[in-house]
Amino acid sequence: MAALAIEISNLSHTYPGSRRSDARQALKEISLQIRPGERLVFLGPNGSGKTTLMRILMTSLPPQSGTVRVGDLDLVRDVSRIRRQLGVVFQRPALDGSMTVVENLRAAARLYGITDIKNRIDSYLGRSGLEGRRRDLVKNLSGGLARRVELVKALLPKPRILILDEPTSGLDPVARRGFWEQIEAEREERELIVLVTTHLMDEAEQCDRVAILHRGELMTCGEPGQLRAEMGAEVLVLEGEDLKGLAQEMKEKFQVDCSLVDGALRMTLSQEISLDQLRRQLGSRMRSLTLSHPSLDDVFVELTGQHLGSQGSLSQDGLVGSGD
Amino acid sequence: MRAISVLARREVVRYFRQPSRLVGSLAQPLLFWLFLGAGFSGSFRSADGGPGYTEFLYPGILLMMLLFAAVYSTITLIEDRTAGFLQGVLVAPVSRLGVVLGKLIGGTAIATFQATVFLLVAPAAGIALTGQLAATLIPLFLLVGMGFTAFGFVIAWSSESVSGYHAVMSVVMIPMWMLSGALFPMESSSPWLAAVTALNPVRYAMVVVRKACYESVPDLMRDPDFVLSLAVTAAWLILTTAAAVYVASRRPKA
Repeated sequence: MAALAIEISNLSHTYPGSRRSDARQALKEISLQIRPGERLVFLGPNGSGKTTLMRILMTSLPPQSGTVRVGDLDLVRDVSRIRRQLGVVFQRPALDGSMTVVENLRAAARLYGITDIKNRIDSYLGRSGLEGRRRDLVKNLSGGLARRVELVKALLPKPRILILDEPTSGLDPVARRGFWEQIEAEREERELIVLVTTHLMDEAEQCDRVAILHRGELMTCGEPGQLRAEMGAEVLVLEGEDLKGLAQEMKEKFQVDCSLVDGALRMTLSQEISLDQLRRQLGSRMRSLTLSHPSLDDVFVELTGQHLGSQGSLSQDGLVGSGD
Repeated sequence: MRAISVLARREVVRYFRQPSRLVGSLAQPLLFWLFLGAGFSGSFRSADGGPGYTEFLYPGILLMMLLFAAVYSTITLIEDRTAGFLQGVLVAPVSRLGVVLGKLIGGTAIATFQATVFLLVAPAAGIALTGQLAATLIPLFLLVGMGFTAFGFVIAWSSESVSGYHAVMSVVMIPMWMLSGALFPMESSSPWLAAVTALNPVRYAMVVVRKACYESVPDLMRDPDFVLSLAVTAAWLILTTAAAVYVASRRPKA
C-alpha cells in the first residue's frame, strides 16, 4: 500500500451570522501538508479554529473554500471513500451507553463493512485490556475505560488516519498513558497518520509536529524541538509591581522586548544576562524571577500573546514591546 | 444495507431494554380506551344500530397506539444526537438513505409490535380476533407506522431537545388524531370540520384501519373509500420518507 499523505490547501471557513451573532471566519486560508505516518498535533485556544479544522478533516463539515486531498482522493468528491480510511475519537462520547462494550463494537464494525467481526473485536479487546469488560454496559464503565472503548471502535476498521479531538481530556495520567500506548502499538504494526488536538503540553511534545492555530490562522508548524530552539536560549518571566516601568527599564538597560502575559512580564533572551546584574538593577520591585528553557507553551505565548489553557486575550492594558 | 440493519436492530434492542417504555406505551391507550369507552357508551348511539361506543372507539385507540409509538420512536434520534452516538454514525461510510431507513424501519417495527399486542384485546371490543384479521391489519400497521415514523423523523431531526419535541408533537399529533374519526364519526360532524379533516393524513389512516377491522381483503379492495384512503396513506409514506431523506442529507446540527 502506497504511503498516504494529506494536503490541505487554502482552506477557509466562515460560520454564517444570525440575528444574534455576527458571521465569524473560523479558518483563514490554511495550507498544510501532513506526511505519511506522522503524528500531528493542533494547538490553539477556544476559537482558534482547530475544532472547525478537525470537523472538516473528519468529514462532518464540508469545506467551503479550498481543498483537502487525502492521497489521491478529494474530501468533497470522494467523501465516502475517505470515510473508510478514517477512525475518529470525538471530544464528546460517541458510544451508546445502554448497550454493552461488545455490542457497540459490533455495530461499528458492521457500519464499516468489516467481515471478520468476531476475530477483529476479540483481538482488539485483548490487547486493550478490555477483555473482561466486554459484556458491561458502556454507561457503567469508568471514564478511562470508556475512552479506551472509543479508541478500539475507531481502530477497528483499521483506518489509515486516526483523528482524535481532545481524546484524553478528563483522564488521569495513568489512563492517558494507556490510551497513547495503545495508539503506539497500532503504529508499530502499520503506517497510521494521527491528527490530534489537546490542551496538554506533554502530549503535544510526544508528537512529530505541532501546528499552532490562532484566530483561524496557522501561525506555524514544525517539530516541537525545532520550534523551541527557534525561540531563543531562555525565557525570563518577572513578577512584581509596576510592570510597565520594569518593561521600560529592561528595554533600556538590557535591550530586550517584554510582553505582558497573565499578569507577568515575559521576555525571550537570545544572549545570556547576568542574574546578579538583574537583581541589582530591579531590586525589590521584582517579586519573583523565573528563568527557563523555552517550552511549547512559551512558543505558543510568543506567537499568540496568550497561554494555551487561557480564555481569550490576556493583554491587559496593551502589550508592552514585542508580542502584539 | 448494513447501516439499515445495524440501526434498525439497535432501535428494537433499546426498546426492549426499557421496560418502563414498554409498559407505559401499552398501558396508556388501554386506560384511555377503558375510561372513554365506559364514560361515553351511555350517550353514544350509532345511527343504524351499529357498534356501541366501546367497539367504535377500539380501532381509534388501535390507531392512536400505532401513531404515537411510531412518532415517539424518533425521540431516540434526539437522544442519539445529545448523547453523541449520532456523530459517529454520520462520519461512517454509510449513505444518509441508509441512516434514515434504519431509523424508520426500527421505529416502524416497534410501532407495529405495540399495535399487534393491542390487537389481542380486540375480542373485548366485540371484534373477533382471527388470523385473517391479523393478516389484514399487520401490513397496514407497517404502512401507516412507517409514514408517521418518517413524519416524526423530519421533526426530530431539527428539534433541539426531547422536551421541545414532545411539546411540538403533542400539539400536532393529538388534534390530528382527534379529528381523524377515532373519537367520533366524521360523517355526522359539521361541514367545516369535515373540510378541515379532508387534509388530515391521520383521517385516511383511520379509515384504512377501521374498515380493515371488519371487512375481508376482497371486500376492501372493492370499497372505493378504502382504496382512496389506502392510496393517500401510501402517498403520505412516500412524501414523509422523501422529506426525511432530504433533511438528513442537509447539514446536521452541530
